[in-house]
Amino acid sequence: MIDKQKIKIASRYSGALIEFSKEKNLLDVMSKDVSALKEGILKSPLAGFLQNKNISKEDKRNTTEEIFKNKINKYLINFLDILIDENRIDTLETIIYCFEEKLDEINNIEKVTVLSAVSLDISTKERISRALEKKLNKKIEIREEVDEKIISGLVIKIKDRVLDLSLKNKFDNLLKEIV
Amino acid sequence: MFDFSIANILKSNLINFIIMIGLFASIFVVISIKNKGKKSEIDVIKEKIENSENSKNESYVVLEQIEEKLENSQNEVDDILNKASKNAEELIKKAETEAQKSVTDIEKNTEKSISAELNQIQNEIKREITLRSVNSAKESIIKKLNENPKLHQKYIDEAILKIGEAAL
Repeated sequence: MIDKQKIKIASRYSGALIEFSKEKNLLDVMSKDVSALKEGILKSPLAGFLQNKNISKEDKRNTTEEIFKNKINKYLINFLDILIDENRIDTLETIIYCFEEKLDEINNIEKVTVLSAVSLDISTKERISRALEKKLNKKIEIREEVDEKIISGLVIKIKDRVLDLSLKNKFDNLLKEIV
Repeated sequence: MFDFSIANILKSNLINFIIMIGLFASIFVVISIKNKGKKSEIDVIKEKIENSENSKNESYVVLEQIEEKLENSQNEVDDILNKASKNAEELIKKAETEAQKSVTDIEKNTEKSISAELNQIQNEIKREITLRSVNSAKESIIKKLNENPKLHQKYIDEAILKIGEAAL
């Protein structure tokens, strides 16, 4: 379930990080570093460590600095320190999500998940991108997923919208009409 | 001048005549009284007869009235019976009409329910056949897709073409 309060807080922190990056002209660097941070923290035991309330804030700060020093910019490390100090580190995942959303908005990028029953070749992906760019008037970033359950065709997910162009959907609709 | 002694009287014819007249008168009175009594008796009887005649007449009148009443009663009874019979007939007719209507309604409803059930069964059969056809088509397509993965491209191309038409 979506925690609206968490999103509200995350939106505030991510907004501040975006504004700061713009002012320092570090938007591209920050974008790459946030991606690195995402990979480094969220998919490692570090996330649990940072959210552990029995570990002191100082230990958390020292650990993050040690891990990310020379890997991400110092401002982002400071940002992590702020989250640790203000007991907001548990919202880091949501902050990163909101940051990427805002960044995509700035760069007019739409991240799209494309489901197909078989893996797509480059040419097909490009055609999908072009069709979506034309449709949405945005740059498209495709994330591909293979799902045999859709039988064939494509399912395109854009944020909370779903464009189901699969054979499974066709059959389901047909069956719904009959029942 | 006149000798009213008993002896003289007894001797006198006039007196005898008078006595005779008196006797006759007495007899006449007696007879008259008797006749009078007889006459009043007759009158009473006559009256009685007359009265009885009157009573008889009255009785006749009463009898007639009673007869009339009886006749009227009979008529009333007849009327009541007629009315009852008429009502009964009407009721029977009404009951028959209603029963007929009920029968017709039941028949109609039965026909309707039979027809509805028939439609339902037909729809169920159609639905079942269509479901099986769709499922069969689905299985057939999956089989063909498994046999020839290149077929996927056809459906993917169709999907790409539909991106432009779709509402987002």
